[in-house]
Amino acid sequence: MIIRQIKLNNFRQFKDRCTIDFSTDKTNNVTVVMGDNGAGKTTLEQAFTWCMYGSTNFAIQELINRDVRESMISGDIAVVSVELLVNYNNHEYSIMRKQRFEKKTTRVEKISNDIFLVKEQNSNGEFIPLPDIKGVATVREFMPEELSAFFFFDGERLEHMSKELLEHKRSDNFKGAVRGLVGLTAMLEAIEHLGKPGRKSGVIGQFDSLIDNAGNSNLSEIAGVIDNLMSKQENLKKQIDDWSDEEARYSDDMISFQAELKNMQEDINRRREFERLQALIQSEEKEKVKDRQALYNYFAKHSFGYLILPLLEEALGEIKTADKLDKGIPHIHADTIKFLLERGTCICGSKICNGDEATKHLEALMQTLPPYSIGNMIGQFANQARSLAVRETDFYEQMKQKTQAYQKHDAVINNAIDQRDDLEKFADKEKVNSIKIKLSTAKNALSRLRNDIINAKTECSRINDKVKYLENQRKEIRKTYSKNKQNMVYLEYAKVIWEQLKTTYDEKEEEVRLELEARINKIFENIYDGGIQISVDERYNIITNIVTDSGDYMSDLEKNTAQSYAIIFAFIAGIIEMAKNNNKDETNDGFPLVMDAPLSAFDKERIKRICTVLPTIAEQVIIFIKDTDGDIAEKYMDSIIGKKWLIKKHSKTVSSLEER
Amino acid sequence: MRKMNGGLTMDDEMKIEVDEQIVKSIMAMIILAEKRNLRLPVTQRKTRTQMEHQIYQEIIRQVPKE
Repeated sequence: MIIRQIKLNNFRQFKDRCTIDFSTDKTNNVTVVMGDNGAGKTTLEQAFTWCMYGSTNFAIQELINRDVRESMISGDIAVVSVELLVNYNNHEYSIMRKQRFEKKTTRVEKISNDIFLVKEQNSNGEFIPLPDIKGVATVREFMPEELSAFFFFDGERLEHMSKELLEHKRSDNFKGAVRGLVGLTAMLEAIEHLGKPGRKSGVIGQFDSLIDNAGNSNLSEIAGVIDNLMSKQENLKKQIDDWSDEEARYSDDMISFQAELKNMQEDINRRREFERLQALIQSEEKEKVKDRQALYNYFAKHSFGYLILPLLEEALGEIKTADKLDKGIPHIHADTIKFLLERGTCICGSKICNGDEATKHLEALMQTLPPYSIGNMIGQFANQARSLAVRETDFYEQMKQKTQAYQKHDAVINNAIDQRDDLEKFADKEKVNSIKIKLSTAKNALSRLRNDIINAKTECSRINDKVKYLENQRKEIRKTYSKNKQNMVYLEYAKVIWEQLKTTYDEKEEEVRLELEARINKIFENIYDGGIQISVDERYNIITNIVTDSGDYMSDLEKNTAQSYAIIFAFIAGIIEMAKNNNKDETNDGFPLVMDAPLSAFDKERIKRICTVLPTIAEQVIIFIKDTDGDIAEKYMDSIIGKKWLIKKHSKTVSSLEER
Repeated sequence: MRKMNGGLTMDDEMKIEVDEQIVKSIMAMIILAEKRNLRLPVTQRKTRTQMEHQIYQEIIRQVPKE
């Protein structure tokens, strides 16, 4: 089935008549419908399902445009309709569903019996209506209702399925798809109607009660007990299933918490190193300040001597050549001699008289002493200068060492700062504790669940034994009543039929599940990075594993939205492939895929792959995208886009369509 | 399982033979009825009770009488 056109009339936001022509070109098979949030993308998607099957999944079921409804006055009749023009097996068909609404005194009510009309174009180009039942059957032939939700895949279903994947829930969507693909809905209905052996409901239950009623009160009592036990057993099995799901989730959680803690342990080590470096930086800063002070102090104390060294050396050279320097007595002033002469007594106590030898000697000596002579002072200066010169000779070396010591701190600090900055990301202690608590909770819950499961399984098996025992007892009692014989034969036939149908159905379902799983993996590899294995267990839990280079599977990887959307795309593509495969007689010229495409959730490479793969799987692709994704779609799909439409939102209640 | 006379178990002795051809024929009729029902618009389909009754009658009609 290829959809040529959709005509909407007063359908939700689409007031009055709106028409969209879709691309039917085999190469440019993509029609892009852009629209802002709330413009009516989901409404448009739902219009297909409503037209074909009469059902929608709107939260608010009202179909009539709100403006139209508000403007109606008592007695007015308004029509909501959707018409699809499709090609199927080289014929053209018109599928139309119409619902009339009447304004009663206070409210607008549906007029019962909506109109559903399928018309087939004859060789003269006229559309001839098909009889009611044939019309319904024809539409089911175009596309099985059980699978329609996957061909008209709205954003809500996408979100729901993504949630199933991200939260590791059992996938009802996958189960529904498999059941739709098995194509044995009639068989499934028959199994349901026959009823499970042992239960009071269904055909089998009716035969059972027929036999029991013909017997005695014991039989009815036993039947009641068996029914109760089986009901209890079914509840227990459901409970075990739920617990097993919960167990799997806790198990996953534990793995992820442990991995997170392991990562955090590295973070903790990094934090320790960070703190060590921080302390080192601080201590080095202190040492640096100390060393800088020591350098300044040394410079302040020694720089003068160092700077005047050349002058001193020159002065000492000059002094060396002077001959007065050796004649004076150090530290003796001329006044000292003068005082001795005036006192008339020498330091040694000898008398000194004017004119004697000693006086003459002292008077001569006086001439060599300050203030008459500075030779002695120069001598003293020379001694001090020599001592200074000796002291300051290592000034340069000292300054060099002290500067190096100071600079060394800078090198250590800079190095430590670099290392510290590299370690900036580290776990916070509270988070570590919170994960430890979560891990411990998960461990406890897991152990509790495992115990519960074991107990429930034991209880199930106990019930099973008891049911078997009661069944035998019942059979024996039944045998004693001859009038039961015929009814027991009916019952046996009903049971055998149920078992055969159930076995056939289960085998087929398993086969389809495995085939769909294989197809999904193949397609997923094309649109994602590969290296991931998707598996679906018998309870429809979807598990994704990383495939290592050696071909082994690693534990469940952390899922993200892009990945889950990619799985969903692969899933839809897989269903389309299988549906095409089921259509072996090739009466169906293709399947349309009408879906929301949240392209912005993906990176460029993946968008490219998705945009390349989907149009090759479905013969016609109608995608709904946000205005903001328009550029992405144009960039990657321009060569395959046949038509482009924009949903223009005029108000909350009215939108219109415009071809771009 | 309790042994009956001649070494047969209770189940063996109580086993009711069914004719495979008749089983197949009933099964075909049931599936046909279900398919017919599914082809109808949802509002016109037979109810669960009606379908159960139809299957019940089909079994009684086809199973040989003792």
